[in-house]
Amino acid sequence: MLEIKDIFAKAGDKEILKNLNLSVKPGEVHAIMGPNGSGKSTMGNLLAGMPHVTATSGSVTYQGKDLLQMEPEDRAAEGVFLAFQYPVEIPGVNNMYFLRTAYNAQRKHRGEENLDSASFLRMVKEKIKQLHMSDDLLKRPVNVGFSGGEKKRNEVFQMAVLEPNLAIMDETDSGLDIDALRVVADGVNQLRSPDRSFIIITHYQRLLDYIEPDFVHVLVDGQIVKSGTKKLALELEEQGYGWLEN
Amino acid sequence: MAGLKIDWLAAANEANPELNWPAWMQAKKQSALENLSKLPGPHRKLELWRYSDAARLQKVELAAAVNMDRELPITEGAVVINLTAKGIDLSQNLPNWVSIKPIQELPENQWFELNVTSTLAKELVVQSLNQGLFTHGVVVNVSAAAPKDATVVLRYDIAEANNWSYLRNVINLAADTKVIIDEQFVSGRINVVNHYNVANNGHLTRHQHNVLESGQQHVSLQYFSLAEKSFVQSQSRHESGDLQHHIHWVDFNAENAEYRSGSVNKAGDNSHIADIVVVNHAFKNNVSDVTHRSLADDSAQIFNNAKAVVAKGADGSEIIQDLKNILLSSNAKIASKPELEVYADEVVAAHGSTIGALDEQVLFFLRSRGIGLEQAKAIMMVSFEQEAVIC
Repeated sequence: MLEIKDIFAKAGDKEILKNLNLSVKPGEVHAIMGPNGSGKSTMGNLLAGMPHVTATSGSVTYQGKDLLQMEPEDRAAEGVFLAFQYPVEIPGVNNMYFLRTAYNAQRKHRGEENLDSASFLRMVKEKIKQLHMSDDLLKRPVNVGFSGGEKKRNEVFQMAVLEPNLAIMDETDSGLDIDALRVVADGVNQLRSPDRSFIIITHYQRLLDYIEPDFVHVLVDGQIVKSGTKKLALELEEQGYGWLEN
Repeated sequence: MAGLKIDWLAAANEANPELNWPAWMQAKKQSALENLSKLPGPHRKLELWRYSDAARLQKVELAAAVNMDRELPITEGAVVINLTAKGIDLSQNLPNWVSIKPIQELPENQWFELNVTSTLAKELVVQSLNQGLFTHGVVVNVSAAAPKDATVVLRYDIAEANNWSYLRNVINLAADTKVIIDEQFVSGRINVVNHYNVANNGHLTRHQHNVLESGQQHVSLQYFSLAEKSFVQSQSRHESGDLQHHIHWVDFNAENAEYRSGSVNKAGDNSHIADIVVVNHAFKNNVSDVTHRSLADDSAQIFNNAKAVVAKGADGSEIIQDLKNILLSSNAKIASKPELEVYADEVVAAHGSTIGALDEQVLFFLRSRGIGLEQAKAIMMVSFEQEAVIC
């Protein structure tokens, strides 16, 4: 599904990713761990197409296409989803309107007809019920007045509605209490399927107690220095990152 | 454009028709014209015209208007007053809570004069021109019998595209009256002065909708006199046009009144829009809260100005001025000026002004959900405007 090969990338003027390689197959869940400033979020932003993150060499192939040549909205329509570490607020624009606009924009990109309001409402109400979230969320302006946990839950809800093929979760667990963490993890687990892949960026092993990864990678100074199974996350929890940085 | 002169009297001789109006009103008009003969026309050295190209006022012919549908929805049951080139057109029988008369029937004691001791009042030359040349308008008296959601619509529909039309309206709210007044620009090259006279405990909700075509011009002065415990909320939308210049002038004439205004200004192409609010806190314990949101694209220019003057002894005044602006192109210009002039001792005042671009993080967020660049920008602009939508 995704092949990151020999990527060097800058965030602004600063080189962050240095020879990053990663291969993700359909249905796999990859956890990316690493110390602050190692390039985890830059990797997520590069994949989603954030403008100030640019690859200086290397390639990213997604479902056989050159991902780096695509606009952010085209990547989204092709099934790439980034759950933001710091979800933005959009006053005056309610979640329902925002989501329907996004949903229909993606359908248009794929040459499909718009979904009418009534059908869309039925669909999102079903999704929000499955995720055990309140449908009050739909009427509220995007993330305005939301708690940290609500914002992260809203990201998972958006993911559920947009049904991406590749979901990148950028520290979705940060700032969550244990109940919110469970809700978010349940949401992700419900969306796991043989043709949907996840890249889960996290600092802490605790999220991986709820979302079982197939692989755990450690990113240090812009490159993956170690890969393993969930056991690696437990080792990191005990020993920290120091032993990998030296 | 500094030093630009306009030959006011020549304009007056040409435009002022013979009107069989009361002598006192004719005297007011004559006095305004005589006063104008001593003044220069609007130019960039005047604070109110510093950021607008006043020379455009003299254009002989405006760009041809493209037929666009500017019919706005009208609330069911609203009293609609059409101000047309032919005069006043009332579309229905009037309910008992409102009376409407032509402006020449205005009682002399309801005539208003601005406080000319204010420096800015001396700059109101274009509005003085209105006093000299106004040809029609209405006096609207709303009584306390007005039902909930009582609405009066003032439609400016002057078909004449190139010659200036001068309109003057007086809207009186009796004590304890609650009403909605919608001002809608439909067509014409209009210089309008409105006097909103709000009596004790009066509650006015006012909407001003000025979406112009690229070649059109519109100049207005909205003057609000607020009595004790009265409340005014005023919502303006100014979009496009060749030139728009709008002044909201608020005088608190007693204590415990409140004025709130929200204003959205959107200019593209080579449009110039000025949105100026002057609030005079002459008495204690009054509140003014002014919010502007402006967006300028292409080579457009916008001037935002919120000025509050708090007189000596007007303690307990509360003032908020919140002006935020977004530049959508490198050639667009916005001047944004919150101003406080405080002579009282105990005043709560907050003012702020920002000018920036669309937030790139939000833009990326929207695009990352599949929304195209232009649609994402449009959503962000709607979001930005909403902050200034108060009623």
